[in-house]
Amino acid sequence: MNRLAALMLRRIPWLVAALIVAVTVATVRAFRQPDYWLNVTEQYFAAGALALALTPIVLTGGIDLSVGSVTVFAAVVIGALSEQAHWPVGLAVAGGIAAGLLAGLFNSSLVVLGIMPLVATLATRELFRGLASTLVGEATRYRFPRTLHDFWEQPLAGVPLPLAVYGIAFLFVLTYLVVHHSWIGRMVYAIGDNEQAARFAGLPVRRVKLGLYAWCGLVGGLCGAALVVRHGAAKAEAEQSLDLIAIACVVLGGVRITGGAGSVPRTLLGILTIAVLLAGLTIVAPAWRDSLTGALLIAVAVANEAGNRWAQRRAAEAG
Amino acid sequence: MQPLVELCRITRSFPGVVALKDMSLALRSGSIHAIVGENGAGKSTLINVLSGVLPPDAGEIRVAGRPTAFADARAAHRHGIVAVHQEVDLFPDLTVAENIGHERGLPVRCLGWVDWSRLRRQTREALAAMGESWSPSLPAAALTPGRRQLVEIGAAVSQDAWVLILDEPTSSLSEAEAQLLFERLRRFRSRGSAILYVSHRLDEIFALADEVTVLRNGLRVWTGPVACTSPDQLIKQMVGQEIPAALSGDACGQGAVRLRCRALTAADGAFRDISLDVHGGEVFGLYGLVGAGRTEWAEAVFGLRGLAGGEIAIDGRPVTPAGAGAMIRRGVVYVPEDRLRHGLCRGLSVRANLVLASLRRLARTLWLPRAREVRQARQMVARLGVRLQSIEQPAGTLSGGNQQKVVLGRSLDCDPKVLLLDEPTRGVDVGAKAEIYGLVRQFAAEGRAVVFISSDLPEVLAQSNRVGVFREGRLVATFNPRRTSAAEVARSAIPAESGVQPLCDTDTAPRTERYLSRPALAAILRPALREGALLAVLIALFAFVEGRTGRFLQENELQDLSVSAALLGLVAIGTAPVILSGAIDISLGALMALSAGVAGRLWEQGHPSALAALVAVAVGGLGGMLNALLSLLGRVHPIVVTLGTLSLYRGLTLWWIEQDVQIPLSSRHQILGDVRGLPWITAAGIAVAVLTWLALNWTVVGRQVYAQGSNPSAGHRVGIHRSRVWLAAFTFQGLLVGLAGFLSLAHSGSLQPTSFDDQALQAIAAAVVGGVAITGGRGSVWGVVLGCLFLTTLTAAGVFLGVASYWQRTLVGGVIAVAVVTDVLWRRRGA
Repeated sequence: MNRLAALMLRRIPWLVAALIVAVTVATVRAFRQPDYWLNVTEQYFAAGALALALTPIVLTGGIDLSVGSVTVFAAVVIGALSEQAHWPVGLAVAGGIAAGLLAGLFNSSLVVLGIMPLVATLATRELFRGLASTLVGEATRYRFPRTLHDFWEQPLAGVPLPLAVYGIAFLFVLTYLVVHHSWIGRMVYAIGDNEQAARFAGLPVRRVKLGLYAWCGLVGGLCGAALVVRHGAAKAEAEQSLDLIAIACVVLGGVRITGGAGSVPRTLLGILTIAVLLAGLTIVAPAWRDSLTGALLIAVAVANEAGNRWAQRRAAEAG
Repeated sequence: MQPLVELCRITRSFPGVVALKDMSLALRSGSIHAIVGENGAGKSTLINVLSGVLPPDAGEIRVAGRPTAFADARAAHRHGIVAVHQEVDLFPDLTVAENIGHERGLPVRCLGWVDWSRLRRQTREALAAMGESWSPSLPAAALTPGRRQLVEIGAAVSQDAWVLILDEPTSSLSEAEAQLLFERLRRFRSRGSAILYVSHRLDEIFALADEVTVLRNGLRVWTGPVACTSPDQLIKQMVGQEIPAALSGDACGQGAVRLRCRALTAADGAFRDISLDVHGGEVFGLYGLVGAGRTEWAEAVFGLRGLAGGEIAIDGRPVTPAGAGAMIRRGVVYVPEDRLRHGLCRGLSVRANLVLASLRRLARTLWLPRAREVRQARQMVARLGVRLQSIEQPAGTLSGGNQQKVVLGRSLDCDPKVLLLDEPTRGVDVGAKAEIYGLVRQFAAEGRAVVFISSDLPEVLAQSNRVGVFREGRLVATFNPRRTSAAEVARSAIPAESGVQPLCDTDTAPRTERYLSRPALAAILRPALREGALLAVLIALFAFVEGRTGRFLQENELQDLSVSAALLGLVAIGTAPVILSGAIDISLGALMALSAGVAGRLWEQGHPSALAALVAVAVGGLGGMLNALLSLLGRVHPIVVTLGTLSLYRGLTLWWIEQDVQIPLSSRHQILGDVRGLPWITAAGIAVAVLTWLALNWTVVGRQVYAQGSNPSAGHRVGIHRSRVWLAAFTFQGLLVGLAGFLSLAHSGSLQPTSFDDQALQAIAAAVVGGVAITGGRGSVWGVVLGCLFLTTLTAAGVFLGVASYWQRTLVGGVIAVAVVTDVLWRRRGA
């Protein structure tokens, strides 16, 4: 395999993102307006935030399939607290975020107990959504005052950017710093590469996992709050495919599903790719949206894997 | 007379070491030929070459005078050469009979049905040959390691083996069992067969063998009749005349005692009553045979293994080992013997590995400055002399010696008081070995207490100030290497009849009666108990609802229930082979919708229902096949692939059926009918369940599904191809999913593009609740059926009792969570 091809294989997420963005901007008129980009950011804020929170978890070789359910659960809790318990909106939002954190802690306790993250979060996925349905009860949704939505639309510090942009930027910077420049991040990579060796080196594997899943729950709570604020309503049946979209972002970004390889900037690329792709396809060819996304996901995963293997083989030969 | 098997000038090397040099050996008919030698002398390589596992680099193997090359172990089997290894890597979830069956080939009747009765008979014969009379249908995990070895030997003896190779066969046997084994071996010999007997136990060799060969450093140093030699002479040959110059006797470790152990006993019995002191500045060597308990002792001191009693003091302060991190903070570091599995993160850079143990220390609160990391890493590299191109290169690309230095370097970071080094020069070339010895001496000179565990006698004698010898879990002696002969040290490590009692079972019933380990008994009972419990809960549920409403057990209701259960069951049963083989598929729902959609359109346009059914099944099968091919060829985890195909199939469904599919009742009513009260759909479900049960239990591929899920590496060893197994399992699942889609469409009469969204989860839930292990290898079709019945009844009961539908999801999630948690807890209690 010549060097150019090899180089390209290592840079798959960049190439794919560039390609998608270029094609979309060229073919979809709406993308030529900067306003529309902000719109897309708002729409895919939850998917992006969750993908960022999922990245360290997947890096350790785990997974969390319940992120969408936690989001909806938190949203419904906010609704319940504000409408039934008559809490002030701000406090209700805090309560919702706390509910997300609790859900994340529940996930982490199952994982630390020794249950495979796949199975544990498959179960909690149903559990949390069911709890959300139960809370909502006979009514199918809560309604929130318009003021909440206005708050969301308010420009921050005079700059006319929606809160979603700040939110994603903040989460990205935070996740990037923690994963790539803190000791927690080093531990995450070590656990993902060889959990046994990490244990022998004295790393607190259990506590790290506890923290990661709890953090994911907290971010789910934040997304729930964002959902409520943006739509002015909380519905238990909302966001059915949020989990899978978030995971697709992570996979497209080249994070290995078995752990130990990947990076936060790449996840951001994955988010960008998915958001632009889905938004573009929704306008241009809604019937092909799912098919193309699925095909792209598989193609990128295969290419990433091939690139990883090639790189490993070259490194082994050289070493 | 011509020897049965002959090795002629065999040479075999591995990177950095020549394991066998010009080895010639002849095994004559009717003889027992013993092989002795130190660890690393080449015994394992000899066994592997002779049994066909490894091809020789030079030389040839002659079977009955004719040069033969073995492609693999199976080929050697066909020539009558069978090896029984010490560590048997088997399929823990399968029965003893089946384990042997996979290794030697499952016996089949005509048409490919597994001949269970012949397999059981063969296994019973094998057991009888060993004097055992218990059932071959016990799960292999239920046997103690000694028993497993006996079964393997019995299987080899009772089949057409002419040359039997045994590797430390009595290591897990009691005295009585060993005598029984010898009697069988003598009988085998009198038949005209040859036995290659590799063992450290010289007393056994003198009791049993006719000839003995001594190996040292890959060479054959002596061969002759047992009658012409003595244990002392053999030991001298094994160890050799040259002992490298001992440590120049300076700094003989007269510092204060840094590590004190008193009466340490392992919780699992791996060692007992270990008391020793290690001084600062001293290198304390620990010698012993593999399995003598040294690694287990070191792991226990490091806090990774439970202690049942005893005390540890570091620098005079008593310490309770509470885990690796805690012990590192106390100044004790253990460098594990398996560098690749337990020591190094191969994919991470050298820098990342070097700083792994010092992360908290180097960091400023949360932030880890790269500059500090790099400085630390460079210091470590310079200090240890690690040869590399850059500290950023992946640690796995370094040579063995340099990898070991990295692991050593990491351990130094916390300035340890006590260093436990386990086989630090294993797999390291000669040059790097010398460097590591220098480093070890340096560590000691810095005032640390160093424990040097090694199975290489010359090495441990040369590098230690004192040498302790472990034998069968006890510290039997401590020597000064400058005043003791190597032979004496070697002798003390070898278990003998007189003197020390065998470690286990001194106070319990003799081993012969206890062939089942207690956790294993639990393993046998668990599936039965689980299915029984499920059935009981199901009956209780029925009774409860019937009691409350009085209308549950009517024919209509039961028919509806059975149809719903059958529809779920088709998907869940289809999912069973995939999960059992260790994979998972989350695209089920979308595939079901696609199959039903394609078929539904045809049906709607007037084509006969039979054609629609066929098309649905075909589409499903193709979809399943695609999932398998993408996972196998693209080398991507099935979870990711099926995530992608989930989207793909959903999109294709949307494209194919833009509007809902509606099938009028007139076309469907035949399928919706029943025969004598049993709905056709339910009958189909039952038929599929029976068919799947037959396929999984009576075909070779079906058994391979279980084997693949139970232990993929063992499966690879016995020649099970994951590609074939997954292709079969995924395609089978696809076919059933297609059928389920068609029947669901027939049942409900309409189809939306988003139908069946939650089918994947429901099916997996039913399987997990029914006892299918998500990691594979365990579970039965009937368990899945029970799981489906349970979930469907729960839903129906909910509807009947007026429980709101939104409770359903909570319930399903809760049920799966409970099922999985109880499984984990139960397994933990048992183990």
